[in-house]
Amino acid sequence: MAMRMDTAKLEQRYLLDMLDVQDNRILEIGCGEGRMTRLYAEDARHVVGIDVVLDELKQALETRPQHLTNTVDFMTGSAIVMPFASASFDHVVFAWSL
Amino acid sequence: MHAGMVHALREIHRVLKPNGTLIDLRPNEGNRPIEVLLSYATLRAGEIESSTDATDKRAANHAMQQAVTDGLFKLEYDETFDYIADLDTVEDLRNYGKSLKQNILSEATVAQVEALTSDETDDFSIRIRRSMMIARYRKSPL
Repeated sequence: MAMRMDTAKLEQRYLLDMLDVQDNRILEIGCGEGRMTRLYAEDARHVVGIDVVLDELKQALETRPQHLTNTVDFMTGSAIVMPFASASFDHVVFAWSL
Repeated sequence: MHAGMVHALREIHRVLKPNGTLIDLRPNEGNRPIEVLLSYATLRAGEIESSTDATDKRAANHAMQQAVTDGLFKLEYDETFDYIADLDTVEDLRNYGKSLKQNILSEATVAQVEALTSDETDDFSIRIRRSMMIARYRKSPL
């Protein structure tokens, strides 16, 4: 199937314009298979992606680049109750998930 | 649904550092127009019906408004843009329709696209526009 999504990369451009990624801690809620997570993982200090869909989380883990193993964590969960300390993230991203 | 989202936004407020930001990126409510791009014209060819998830989208909007009203966050910036999918064939469009979880691509719309492209050789493409919003909210001290 020949399908090209967002070839102008507007989604990526707007997201990265709004996020001060550099050396920050980011929580992504509804990370899915990690498509968005990978956009800011390279420059962030730490990224945590959470999702309730186990199959997608599994894919996110399988496709996580080796060099990001210590920077990017994926875990099951939703925004209702999160197992994180108060004041632990610089940014929270709802990407296609609210 | 709305109550759960409001609770989630309170939880997000808790885990954010002082002065932290929340980015909200998601599709807007509304159908997705389908266009056929020919070498000499762009023709409208129907829509993907998206009313089935309109309630969820309205609930998300209300939850964010509630969070701002409650003093959890301050809206700093918002913008809309089109998230575009370009397809090469009517079969690609059919497959796109099958991949939709909540929205509906009718066979009548596919037939309309087929009719518009039947006389073309390979010099056309099919474009689906999805209106998106992105907003940045700053955590407010409570």
